[in-house]
Amino acid sequence: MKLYSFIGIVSLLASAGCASVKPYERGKLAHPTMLLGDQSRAGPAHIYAIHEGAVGGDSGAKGGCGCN
Amino acid sequence: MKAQSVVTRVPRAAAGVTDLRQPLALFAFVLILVTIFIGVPHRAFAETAKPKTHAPKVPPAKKTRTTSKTRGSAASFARHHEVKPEEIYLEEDTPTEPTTPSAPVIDDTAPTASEAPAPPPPASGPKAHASFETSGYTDSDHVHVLSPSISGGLADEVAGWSVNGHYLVDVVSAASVDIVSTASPHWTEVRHAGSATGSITLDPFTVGALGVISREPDYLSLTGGATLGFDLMDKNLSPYFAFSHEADSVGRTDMPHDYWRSKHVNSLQAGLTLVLGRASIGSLQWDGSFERGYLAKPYRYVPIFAPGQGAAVGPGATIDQVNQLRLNARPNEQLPTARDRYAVSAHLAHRYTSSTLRLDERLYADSWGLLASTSELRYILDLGSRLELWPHLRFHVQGAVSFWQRAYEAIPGPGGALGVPVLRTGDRELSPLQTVVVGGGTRIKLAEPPGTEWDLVFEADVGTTHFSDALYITSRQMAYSTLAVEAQF
Repeated sequence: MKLYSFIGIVSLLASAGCASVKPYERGKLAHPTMLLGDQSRAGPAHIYAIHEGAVGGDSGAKGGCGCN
Repeated sequence: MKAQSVVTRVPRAAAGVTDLRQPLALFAFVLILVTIFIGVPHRAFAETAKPKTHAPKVPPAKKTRTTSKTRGSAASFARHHEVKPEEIYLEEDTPTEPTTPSAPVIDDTAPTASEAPAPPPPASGPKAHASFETSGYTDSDHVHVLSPSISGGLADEVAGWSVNGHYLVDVVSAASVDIVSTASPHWTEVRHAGSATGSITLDPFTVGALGVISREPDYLSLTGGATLGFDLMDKNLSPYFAFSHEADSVGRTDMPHDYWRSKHVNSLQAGLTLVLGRASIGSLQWDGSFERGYLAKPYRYVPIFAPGQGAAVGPGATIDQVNQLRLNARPNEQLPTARDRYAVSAHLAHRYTSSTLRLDERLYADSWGLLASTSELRYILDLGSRLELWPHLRFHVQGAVSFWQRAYEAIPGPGGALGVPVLRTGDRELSPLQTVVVGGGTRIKLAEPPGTEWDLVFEADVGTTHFSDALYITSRQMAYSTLAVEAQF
């Protein structure tokens, strides 16, 4: 139940924080540096995974332009 | 939209001149009809775009040139937006307000409308990309790694599919304090890792699959997984999910494979990508990783001290000091056979006029009691159209697992016998530590479209880790660099 509540709250906050940006307004969002995937290259990411006791967080998020 | 703006302007322009309203309204009505049926060839775009009545007058060739001022080709922008390059031009140059007719004509040498070549056709068909990368790592604990890798793939963003492959070799040479403390010789090992991924978009869904294999003399890892993403709210909100299963075999080089131990990891990921504004995008993500099986390292031994002696072994105690105080018994590392690991992370990207700010934060907790925070920052500067430069900062801080002890003491048993703690580890990555990494990178665009895109990428980082409660060392300094050549054709 707590998990569902958490997901619901996150979804509501996300929806509230989400702007309505039209496709023709996404020039900056489409810039390659705006891709939300993990910024670390494969090598450093491997090093961090070994040297830190934590894992996860490497973003599976797609596209900078929001249009995938 | 375009027609509506004209209508709204007319009354403002005619304010106070009531006798002109009827002819102006008639003119506006006629203009609407002309706009709808004749004036704007890209009707779908005109329905949503800001007023830009001058755009159709600009020769197509000039529009494409203007678009190419930004990074990436007009075609790549077109694929992102699923509109034609001419329409992208309008977006790039009219972010908020309509501009004058002369604004787009920035290149005096551009051909006139009469002599302009036909605009490039909308990009379609697959594009290939390939890269070759070599990385080098070295640290003050005498560990050196050389990692050449190659990757390649095909992607058709219009059709919505992609396939990618990656192959990496790690050559590790180590004489770390952990190795020396067990009187083991310096060793060199080679790891091979390959991965393949693919995805297909069936609007609004994108599904993907991945497979990874990693092989070294004493470790075999196989991973398979799937991803699902979809778009909501006009693609301003994109949830995504991922699942993977990893099956590992862990052994020793001198041990028959039949005696190797197994480890399984199920990983889940759920996240949301949010468009926060015209120049900002972010994501929130939850990760769960559930490890089961043999989670220790077969080569790792843990020194055991007599009851009451542990406090005498301070942080950073040398090998000699440890050897003088420890008991003869030196059992293998032993860890719980289950570990549930959770991370919540936020990623933010903001694009300024000629730079991009990237911020990432991860909060981590697991069932072994380890808590951690990782923060990362990149600020990517465009220094001209062919050069990017970025500083990079990463900070990681973590506590210890619940069973961590710098110096494990034997447990007195009946009859004077001594036992050893059931859970014991010498893995200082499970101890309290803080890491700061500072570095930077650069991307040089050697060749741009049309033709093959060639990029040269160089990154270098230096870092230091402080161990506040570990044997042998209290800090470790590291340096890391990568040189990559990327091509897209």
